[in-house]
Amino acid sequence: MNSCAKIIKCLNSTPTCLTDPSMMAGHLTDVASRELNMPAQKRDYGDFLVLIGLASFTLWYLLDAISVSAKPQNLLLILPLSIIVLTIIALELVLRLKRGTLFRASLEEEPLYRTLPVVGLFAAYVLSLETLGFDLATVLFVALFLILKGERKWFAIAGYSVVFGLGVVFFFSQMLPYPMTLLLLPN
Amino acid sequence: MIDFGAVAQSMDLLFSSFGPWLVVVPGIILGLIFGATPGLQISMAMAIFLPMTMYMDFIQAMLFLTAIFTGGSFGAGIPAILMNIPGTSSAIATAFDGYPMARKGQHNQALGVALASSVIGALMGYIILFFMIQPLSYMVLRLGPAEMFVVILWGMTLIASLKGEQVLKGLVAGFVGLLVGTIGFSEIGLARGTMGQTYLLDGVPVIPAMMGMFAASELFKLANKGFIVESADQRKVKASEIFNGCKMAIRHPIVMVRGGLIGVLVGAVPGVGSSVSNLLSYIETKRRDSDPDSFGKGNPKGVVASEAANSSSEGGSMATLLALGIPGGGATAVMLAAFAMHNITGGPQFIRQQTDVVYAIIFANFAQVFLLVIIGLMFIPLLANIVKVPMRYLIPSVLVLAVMGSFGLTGNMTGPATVLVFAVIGWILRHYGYSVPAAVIGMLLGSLAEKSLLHSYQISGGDISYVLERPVTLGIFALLLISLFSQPLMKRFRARRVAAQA
Repeated sequence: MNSCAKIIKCLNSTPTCLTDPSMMAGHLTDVASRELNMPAQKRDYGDFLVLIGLASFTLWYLLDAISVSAKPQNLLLILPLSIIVLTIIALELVLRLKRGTLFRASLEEEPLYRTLPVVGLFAAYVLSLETLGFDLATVLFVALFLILKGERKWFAIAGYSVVFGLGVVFFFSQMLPYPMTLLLLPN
Repeated sequence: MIDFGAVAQSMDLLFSSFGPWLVVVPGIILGLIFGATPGLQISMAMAIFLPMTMYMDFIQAMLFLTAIFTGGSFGAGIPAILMNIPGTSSAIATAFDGYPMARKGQHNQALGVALASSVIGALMGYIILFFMIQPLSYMVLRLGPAEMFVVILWGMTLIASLKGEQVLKGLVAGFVGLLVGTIGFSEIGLARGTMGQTYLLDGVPVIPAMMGMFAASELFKLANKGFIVESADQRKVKASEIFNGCKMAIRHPIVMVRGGLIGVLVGAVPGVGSSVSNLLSYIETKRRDSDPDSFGKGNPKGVVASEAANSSSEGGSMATLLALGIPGGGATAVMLAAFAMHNITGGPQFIRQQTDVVYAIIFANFAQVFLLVIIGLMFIPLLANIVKVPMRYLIPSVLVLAVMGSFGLTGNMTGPATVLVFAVIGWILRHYGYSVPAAVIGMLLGSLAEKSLLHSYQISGGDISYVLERPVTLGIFALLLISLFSQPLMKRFRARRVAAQA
């Protein structure tokens, strides 16, 4: 068990255990070694890419705003704010380069890819609402989510997804004044 | 100080029909459920159910949202006491003494102490708000667009710099949020950043974006957990003993009043709120107590201090929202979105022109805290069992509600698509330690910040020396710099002192 997990476990038992110097010292050593050895051991490009993504968005938005109009009234906030954001990102990257932690891993215990199937399923659900119909898409989403997360009782999967999915979609289709694509329920 | 004419009108608004009250009980129940479920946040409940307020009038919408807020701040204390797992960060200090009380078999009394302290704390917060809101509006009225702009920047800096080590990331998230908030048509009629999409002309749909960032992205993170709590002790809840606990709380009026005052003051500061106030109040109570060693071992004063402070923070944060139109955290950010949905702009003009509405919100909250006692007592046994709900059933259900609610808001696929896009953005930002509340509040305030800056530019004719003639602007700017640089400077100072001692 690593030090972070130990601390979480300890917090769940009694918060005062954090005053235990040996545990905190262990954790700090862990974090320090993680920071120092990162380039060789655990390279995570995600954090770096997020910073680059935010910088790219900022730069693109600034250029887009300038292309619409270079008048001060249009750029009054956007120009200085963009410069500040880009400067902070540059500063963060320089600091990381100096520390040798440019590609450091996130402090979160769980890797991003473990959540990816859930995110993918949610994306598929939203994108299929119009083609499958809100009712069928919702029932399938709930059922697949249950299967994905380890539910094996077929009657629980079928029962909950049908009752909850159709119930919610029926409620909203009756309440909302907008047309909703439906396949199973009456329009 | 008090506009009695507006008081009478507010009574009329509240009691002329039963309409406004219909939403209070469901609101408190929702708040209790989301507050008592570790992992789910009060702001998440408010964001998911925000679309429903579109079909309510403004007062009804505000009562519904404040009821969720009130219910949530007590709900968070229940798992903190019964299982040592705070429902939200606002109940961390509740667990310090609440759980040891439960281990001694006094869980019912601890729940009673928490309930009474929450009720009295929330009541104190709103009483202070009632007396202060008019003088506050006179003060705030003197703020011009230049001051408003610096206040927004200061608020953003405070919110962004909360995460200690990750200050730079917090600032980036907040400022990029501000930029995203300016997408679409500007004050002078120019469309920026729309990528040719007509649905972005009015800007990014903020409420679906907020639902994605606050709710969906957090749920993704919880998806790999089997149950909310893997092994929860069974504890029987008894109403008569909870009553005894309520009496126990009232025996510590000084702790309660101090907690309430700390809560209001801390709650009014953007970005801080109930997550910090409960800890501050707890530490202060322990420091001043004649027997500080008894804390952490089941001293009811610890529960009183924490719960009174986290509940009274609501009144403090409402003061900032109503007087300045600036949200201090996630919950008030959702309320600001509700203001926008009903075409209402918070701020001194709103307080002065619609004092009756403001008073109606405050009076309704007085009533809400009494309803909380009844509903809280009825629901504690159910809420104590909520942690047994498997996550795999809870998560898709809440996600479906978010998608349906966003469709109801926009009437087309723009809503669900925005939820999806911002859920993914929020999930990635959260994973890499960026402040999601800072990004959301930035998005909400982007256009207001640009408008304030543009008006200052028009008044000053572009002359920068105009700022030098405005001492309040300079004062707030100085506060901004202090809050930004005080932490790293103090850290360096301490490190030097330690090095010198060694």
